[in-house]
Amino acid sequence: MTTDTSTDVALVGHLMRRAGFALPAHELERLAEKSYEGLVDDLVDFEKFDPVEMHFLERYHSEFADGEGWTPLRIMYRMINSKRPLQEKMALMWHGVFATGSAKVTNGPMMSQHYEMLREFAVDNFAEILKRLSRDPAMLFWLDQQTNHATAVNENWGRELLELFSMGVGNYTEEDVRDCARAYTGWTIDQVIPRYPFGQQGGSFVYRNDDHDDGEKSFLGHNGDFNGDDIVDIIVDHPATAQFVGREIHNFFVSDQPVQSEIDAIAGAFTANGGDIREVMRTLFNSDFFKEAKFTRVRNPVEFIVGTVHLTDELRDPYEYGLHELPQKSTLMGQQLLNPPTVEGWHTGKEWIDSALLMERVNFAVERIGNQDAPGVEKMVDRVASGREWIEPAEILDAALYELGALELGSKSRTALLDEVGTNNPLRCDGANRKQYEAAILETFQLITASREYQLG
Amino acid sequence: MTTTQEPLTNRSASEEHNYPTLLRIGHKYVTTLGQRLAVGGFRGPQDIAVSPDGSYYVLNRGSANLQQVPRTRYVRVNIEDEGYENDIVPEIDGLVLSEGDDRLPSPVMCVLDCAATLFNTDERANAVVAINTSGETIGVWGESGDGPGHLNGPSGIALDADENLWVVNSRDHRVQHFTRDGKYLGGFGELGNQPGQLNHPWGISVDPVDGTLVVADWHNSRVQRFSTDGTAMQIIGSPGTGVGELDHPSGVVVDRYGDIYVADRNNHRVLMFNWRGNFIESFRGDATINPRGISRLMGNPDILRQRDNIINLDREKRLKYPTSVRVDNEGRLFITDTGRYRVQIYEKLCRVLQPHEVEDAALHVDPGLN
Repeated sequence: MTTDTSTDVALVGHLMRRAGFALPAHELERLAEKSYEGLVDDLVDFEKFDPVEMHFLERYHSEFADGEGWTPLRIMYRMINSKRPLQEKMALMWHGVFATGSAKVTNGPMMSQHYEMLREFAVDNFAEILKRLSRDPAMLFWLDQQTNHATAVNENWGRELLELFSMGVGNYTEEDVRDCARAYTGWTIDQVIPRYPFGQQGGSFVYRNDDHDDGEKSFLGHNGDFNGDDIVDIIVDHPATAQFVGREIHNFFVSDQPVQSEIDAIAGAFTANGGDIREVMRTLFNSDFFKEAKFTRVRNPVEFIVGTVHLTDELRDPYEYGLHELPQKSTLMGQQLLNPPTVEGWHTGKEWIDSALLMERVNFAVERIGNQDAPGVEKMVDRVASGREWIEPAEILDAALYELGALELGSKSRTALLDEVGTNNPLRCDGANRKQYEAAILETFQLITASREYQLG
Repeated sequence: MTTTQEPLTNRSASEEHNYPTLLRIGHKYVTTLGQRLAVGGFRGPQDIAVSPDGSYYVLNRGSANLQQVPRTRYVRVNIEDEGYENDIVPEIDGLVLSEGDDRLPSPVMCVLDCAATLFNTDERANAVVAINTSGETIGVWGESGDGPGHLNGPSGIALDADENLWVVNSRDHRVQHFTRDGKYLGGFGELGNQPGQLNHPWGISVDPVDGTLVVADWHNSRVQRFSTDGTAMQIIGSPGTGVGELDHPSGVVVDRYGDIYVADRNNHRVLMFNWRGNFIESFRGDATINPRGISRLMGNPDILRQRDNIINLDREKRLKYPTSVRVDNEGRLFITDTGRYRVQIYEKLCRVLQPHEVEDAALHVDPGLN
């Protein structure tokens, strides 16, 4: 552990918003006592921290014992409470890349298995991730692998593996797709028990040798009697895969706008480390272009919600009522966990924002941040007042921005917010004026959460 | 509270005269009540209250799909004809509990008294709710807090021989004694993992043989027996997944012979121990589809075809997060199989032996008898 070099709080805020979820200033200050590189190591080598204790969540939400519909709630709870934020964030990223949806799978336990697999192998070697994915019951059902037979090939999985999960269009031929699918014949799942009358069971991967095509295949210039894992090994060695992973990671962790030189750097780390995602992420977070990419991407709804709840310091205790509302809010903001709209996953960037979705985001944040009974809000209000007898309204804006995670406003937003808060007289922070002061702080918090920059991470 | 320093694993031989000697024949699976979210089904069943008149009341707590409090708090069932007699929807101050009502959001466990009043704990409202079997709320009592008589995450509830209530406070690790209208009579308990200490206890049962209290010490993964003054008397089970081991037990009940049934929730099974605390038998589930479930399946040819292709239906029978166990005077065992929307029922088969039938035999351990 490195403790000799302190780190800029704003930079730590940026790192945590991207590699984890937004945090209030007082938590960023604690983290900033470490060196930046030390923080990155803590994020990527997350096994050094204990996982979230889930027993209490299961107990105080015992109505969810059927396991059918509560995985989104579990995901949110973990994100809020985990000391391994990158693990949660990577799982969310892979969930968007390897988009598998409950709309078709219609099996809660199977979808839960799927997401748990993404979490467990979040920073593993990419080849291992693809091999796990190709054995995942939800994914296999999602892409009709149970109908991919030696005598009747279904190309759905084989095509999406190449197009959406590893290389991208333009890097393979139709013949490659065909033989990729042939290599996966016999890769299927056991028959799922229908949900009536006793509810859903999970599924299991099954390899049926008697339904596998043992013939010669030609795939990306290689010839042989390939099975599924051989296909993955060939894919991961292909330069297009490094570029694919680079694009996905850049889009999720760096910017809504692709920058080829930065994607190349990520792809280079992928190749140099043999597809080890953990090392790719370490390299990325330590790069200059990552450090300079503050507020260049729109936070997805899940990031937005979890980050806001971090600021209010609520729902840490599974006994608290209301956790189940968070996945519902995320759905209203356009991101239904475990149910991406298509196999392409969610469209990101500005597509997270339209007039209706923006209203959902702003209403959620304004309501949460405006609740002074929330312990995190109370703490932030107190910190703004700390050590001051009087405060100028313009100072409130800067102090509030800092408390909400060392946020930075563009000139337009700053001018607009100053117009709102900057015309009042100086406020006394204590005594009889305390309530007026608190109201001004809360109003400023709420105005910030309605700003353009608060939507960004 | 008195805490015994030595590990408590077995009760003394002097207590043996209280309990009958049994010829254990086994348990016969009887039937399964309930199904997934259909008419006559259960929604997140948590517990079942046993009535001497042959009716049973299944306590519901929402469902994964609804994510809200069910209007139907109780479903009255009659196991003789597997009939679902009616849904019992609580009325509070003349108002029917509505969908999503947060006044009583989290029912946990229930018990039925001799006057046909259902009492259930509500862990987030910090309340005990008394409802008659028509659904009228007779009383809601409880004050939040950690002091004597306060409720903090109430979970297990049991009646003693005087028809007073024992209520488990899960969040402050205590067990408290109340009259049925909520007058505080006493209590004990503190956080810890030493004998006599508790960690988020859940269910409770009064031993009908001697009136002692048996508590599911949930986060310590064990069961403890206490005298009514809080003296620790016995520890049953230890953490684990093996034979006789427990993983976060929830419900517990003691039958008239002193046998202790424990809902070993995270191991998805029920364990039975004798009064000495020795493991005897386990139950993993034997569910069958009841007539309502059959008629539902018969109405869906797609599901019928799908089921016909399933290689392993064994999984469907098994318990999933069983939350509570109860017994009735007929020797039946009721397991609330929460994760599968049902209650599985067994019948205990045993014979109470007279002293002359077991004389000397208890001391006889002869490998040659095998």
